[in-house]
Amino acid sequence: MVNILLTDKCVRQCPYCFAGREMARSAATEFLSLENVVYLADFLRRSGQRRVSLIGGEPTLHPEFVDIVLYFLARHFEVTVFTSGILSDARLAEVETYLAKASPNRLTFVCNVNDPALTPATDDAGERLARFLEIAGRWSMLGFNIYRDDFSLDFAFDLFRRYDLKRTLRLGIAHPTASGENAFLHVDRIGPAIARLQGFKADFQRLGIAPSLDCGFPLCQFSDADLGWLVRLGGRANFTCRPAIDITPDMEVYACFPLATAERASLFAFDTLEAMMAHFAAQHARLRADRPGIYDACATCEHRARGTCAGGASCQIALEHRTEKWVRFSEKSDA
Amino acid sequence: MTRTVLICPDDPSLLGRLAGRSLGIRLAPSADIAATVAMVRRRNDLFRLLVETPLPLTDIEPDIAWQGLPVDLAVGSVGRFAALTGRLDALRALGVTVCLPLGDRNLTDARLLSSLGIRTRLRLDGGTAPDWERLSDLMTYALLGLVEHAPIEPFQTIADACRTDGRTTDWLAALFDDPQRFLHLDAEGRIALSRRDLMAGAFVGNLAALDSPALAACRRQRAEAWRQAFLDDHFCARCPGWRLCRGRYAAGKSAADGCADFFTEMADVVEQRAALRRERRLPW
Repeated sequence: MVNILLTDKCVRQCPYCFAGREMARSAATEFLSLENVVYLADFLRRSGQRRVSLIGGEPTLHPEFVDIVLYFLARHFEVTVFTSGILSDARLAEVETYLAKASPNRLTFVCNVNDPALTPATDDAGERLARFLEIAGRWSMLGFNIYRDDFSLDFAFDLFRRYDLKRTLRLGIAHPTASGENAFLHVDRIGPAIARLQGFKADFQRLGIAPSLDCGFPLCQFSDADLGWLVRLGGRANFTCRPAIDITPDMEVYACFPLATAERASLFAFDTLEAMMAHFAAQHARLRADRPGIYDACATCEHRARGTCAGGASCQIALEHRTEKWVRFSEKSDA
Repeated sequence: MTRTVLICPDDPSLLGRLAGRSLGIRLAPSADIAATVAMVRRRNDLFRLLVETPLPLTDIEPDIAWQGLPVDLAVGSVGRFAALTGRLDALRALGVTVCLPLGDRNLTDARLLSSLGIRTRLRLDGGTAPDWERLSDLMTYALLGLVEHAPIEPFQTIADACRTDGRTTDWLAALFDDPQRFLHLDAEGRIALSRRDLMAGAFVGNLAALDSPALAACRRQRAEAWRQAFLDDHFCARCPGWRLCRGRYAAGKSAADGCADFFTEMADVVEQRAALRRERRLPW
């Protein structure tokens, strides 16, 4: 899946955000132009892609947000929008008016929500989210980023009870940026966080919600029983870590926000998505040359060797590299 | 010689005086198109229907009566894309060509429509100068875009008609402005040599003069007006883009501006396109 940043602006300041800092320093263009929207649609079609993710910042802040969604739908793409669900009244009215006929099979909002107890929202964010889910619920699933291991999902289950949503909860590990300055889940806390997640099995089951695990979860932290539970609920898990292509409003490309500072290029340098993926896959391979996974055991793990599991996320490895290099440099200086 | 097409309004008394002629009919979206077409086809060849309105495209309901007819729908703008999406299928099915003035937003919208399979025509008629850089970007998309899309005129006609032997290219017909082929009439039967002349009230005769030698001379003189730039040693005649533009934007200019870069680049793009087509690298 390709992620297109419609804008670098956002209405929230989440502590775990791995995008904000990068976008603040990089984006020369506030909003993706419609000319570039057409270029991207052509580029993706030429590469045989039929799915596209619209992200930000907060993508709904783009003044032509609904137009862009409808354009991609008219070009026969499946569209996923990653949003906070915090929309102005005017934008929400546009969503209600213009997207009314969009099929939930082809349009999905992943509404990334925070636990209001641990990550307090500002002002009327809760009310706006409620209004959004009231209107856009049939296209929406919830998303939750885990950045600490004492999280709760009760607030999310409550939203599932109150609104008619797609029955999927997308769960992501909050990964570190290159500087590691954001709040993220450290490698040694991933296991406890997954254990914490198991504690909500009964709620998932009772409400018929499928957990969908985003990239970077290590397979070894799940028992066969856990995986069976996941499958029986219709959930999905992504134990791999492939370059997720992010395209900025000024048509720069990098593979995953957290690795944005490592390597980036102009989209126009590539003829196809395959060529772009190959370019960034090589970057990931270089990162993993010395250290194949986030755990020492990853080096000899059969699942990693088979490609069933990537051994955690490349950005976790990249952060570790950076820290190690810094330590070695300090030691040398001291000497 | 190609038969002259008279572009005229759907005025019954005027149409009654044009029996046996090839006609392009200008009419409003609200007109009774079926009745007009029936009347014209009884005694004339119908060249095109030119449905004209200052309203945005989003305000125009595609008319089922357009089915099977060559329709140019000239609008002031497209309007909000979100409000148009419900009509895209109808516009495509009816084969309508959407005609737009050269405003910046219209350049964007022409690209959107083209990418969705709807033909467009931009009024590159020597009037108000467009944003040449954006027009150049659109032209490149229209001629070199690797994903199939609908033609954007006049680029398509220019590319198809362009000669690579250094001869100039006449593409006014793409805008129905070639005085050797088209004449524009008002409701009183007065004749203008271009749409712009018609709008400006610059007439060269009336119906009585339609087949006269004087009008023929006048038409030929206009069609060959580009030669004057050489006689005047106008700097446009020495511009590398000349063979495509033929001084269309020369009037009132004292120095080259964006049009020179545009038409020069277009000449280059047209040659690239021809090469790509020879190598079968353009999939459309």
